[in-house]
Amino acid sequence: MPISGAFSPHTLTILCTYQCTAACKQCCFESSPSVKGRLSRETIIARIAEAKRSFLNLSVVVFSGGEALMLKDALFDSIAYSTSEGLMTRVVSNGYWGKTPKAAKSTANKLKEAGLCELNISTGKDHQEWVPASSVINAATAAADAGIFCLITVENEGENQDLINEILKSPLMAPYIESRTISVQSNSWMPFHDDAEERQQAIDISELRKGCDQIFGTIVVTPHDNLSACCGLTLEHIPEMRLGKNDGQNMESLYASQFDDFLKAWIHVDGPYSIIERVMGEDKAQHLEGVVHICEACSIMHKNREIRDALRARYHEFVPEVMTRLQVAMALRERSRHCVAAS
Amino acid sequence: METDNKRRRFIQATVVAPLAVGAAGRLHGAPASVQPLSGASAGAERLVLPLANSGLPVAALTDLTKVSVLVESVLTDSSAANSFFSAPRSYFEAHGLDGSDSTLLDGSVAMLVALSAPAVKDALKNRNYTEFFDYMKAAGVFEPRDPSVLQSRIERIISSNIDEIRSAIGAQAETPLTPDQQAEFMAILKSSGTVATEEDLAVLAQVLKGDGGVTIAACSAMAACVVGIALLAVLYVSAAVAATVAILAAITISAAMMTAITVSGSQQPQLRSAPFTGQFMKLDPAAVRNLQRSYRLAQTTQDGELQLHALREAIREEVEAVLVSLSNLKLIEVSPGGMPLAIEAVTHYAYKAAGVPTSNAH
Repeated sequence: MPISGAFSPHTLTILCTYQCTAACKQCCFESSPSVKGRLSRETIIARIAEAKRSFLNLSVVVFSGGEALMLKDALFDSIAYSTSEGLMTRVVSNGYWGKTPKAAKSTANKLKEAGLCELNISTGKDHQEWVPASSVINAATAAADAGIFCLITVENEGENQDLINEILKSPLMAPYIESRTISVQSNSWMPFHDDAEERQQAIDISELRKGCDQIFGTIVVTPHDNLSACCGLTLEHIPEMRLGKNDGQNMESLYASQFDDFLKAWIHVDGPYSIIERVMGEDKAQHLEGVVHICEACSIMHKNREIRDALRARYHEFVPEVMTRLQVAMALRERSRHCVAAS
Repeated sequence: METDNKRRRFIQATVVAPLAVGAAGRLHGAPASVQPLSGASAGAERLVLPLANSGLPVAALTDLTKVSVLVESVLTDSSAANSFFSAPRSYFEAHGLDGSDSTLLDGSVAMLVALSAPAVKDALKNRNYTEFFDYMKAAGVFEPRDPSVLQSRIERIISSNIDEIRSAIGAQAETPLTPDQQAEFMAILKSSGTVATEEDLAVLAQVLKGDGGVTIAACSAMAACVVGIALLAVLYVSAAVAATVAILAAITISAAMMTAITVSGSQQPQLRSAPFTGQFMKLDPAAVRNLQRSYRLAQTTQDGELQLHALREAIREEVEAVLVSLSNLKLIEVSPGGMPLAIEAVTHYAYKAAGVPTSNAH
């Protein structure tokens, strides 16, 4: 069996739109109310249907953006369709629809009716200018009341953890956090513009050195109806992550095309941070100093002239080792999968 | 700040694609969301490393069948296991695989080598999981870590929220809990949906108060307080993780457990709202990674008890770290020599609350 046959994405991410109710300064997509680009209801459902047909292991559909809830009925219909196909669903939102408890309840009930399994609310310092913590809390608690598990992700704020503490210590949140119907976590944050404020983040380099499970594990349909190999923060900054334009019948072949590219396998096994370390030797420090996110390292790896030249010149040295490690890991994973399925 | 700016200028200066007009200030160029054709979109500029140009036979590099057979034989055939364990490098090379040091140090490969060791096979056969995990630590399958890191981080969380915790457990020593406070703690425990009961808590209290020699400053219902403080501290973990170690994605123990298999079809234990479920482990990413490796070992060996053993060890470590922290911060007082029994008692209560069966194995 070829390695490509052993892989099958488990997650389909639909980036419904680049448009957003907010216009955060450091947004990875530079989303705002004026940005164009969105998928129609018909296209979303067609892509879900094609992915379901093409990939046996597909189990989760994630609706994100931009702000996915701006699609309103088209989103609810797409969730309902996924549910009818036996797929789990997750929506990623900024929580703007929680201005009042009543408004939040109305939207949460529609999401529940469509069959939504999980709501993720992304927030952070920059978000606060557009979506206050009260909206986030209203949206999250309304979702939990409707029976939808909710995860609030707060971008790392640096030394001061005011926002996450405000959310965690809100009396409204306490019963939900205690019952684990709402979880709160902090995620590392990366800048996209040179005017970004400095944020002190304690980074565990071991986490940056890990391989990237997004590659081969997920596929992404973008608002321009392209298929992408990852759903990372810098996916739209790295043209190489774009596998091609969807035509309604080519999703499987676009996905399989990644396996001809050793770099994709290498990113999956070692991750971009380790790749830069290995290829650049003593020069690695100048490229990796201050890197706080694996997606940041991935962008640097793809865009820096010296690293690109070194990769092209030396990659063949790493092929036997990396492919052996990938083969062994996959063989172990396949064995576990078959044993669990048989038991 | 200057270092940060310097670094940002360096990234900007070294990107391949020239920054688009009006894109001043972008560190990674213009995203396709606003400039669909930006960057090296096609052709020679696209960074692709074709396997076909690597000078090696692509079919062999990408075929899984041969490697699957090798893995299966090493895990199930003692003769193959012995050959592989005694000389993994030459075994790989004889099968057309890479046997370099980098390959042998890989996590999956190191795990396969360790699982082929006769001592490990014996440990699994005899259900001696302590020996099994000791071997894995020595073989480098698990990252070396210092348990005091977790304890000090837990202590820092409790310390930085100590006023709230004190107010939750009562303001003055020897003052019994008010009915409201008692109801609040009991509600936390009752809402857990776990199998631990009030009677369990009463038993725990007796153990702590009696042979454990534990007294809790400002709290008469000491067992409820220990458990309650732990639950309160868990609430602060998310913020503390952000301040202590930035995580890259949703590293949650509960998520790990969700995917941590149900080996042989066994059901996942109920873990919600139990005071100690491995949640504090998020404060030490190395501990999370080791726990995830334990689950991979359980999957590979199809031995669900391995997973439970790892979870029990995580719970025990959390309980110890929390109790030591509470003692250091004078929130509880433990008689000399009483700590081991207190840890033992709370650990067993935590197992029960988390729905983790007590082991009959080693």
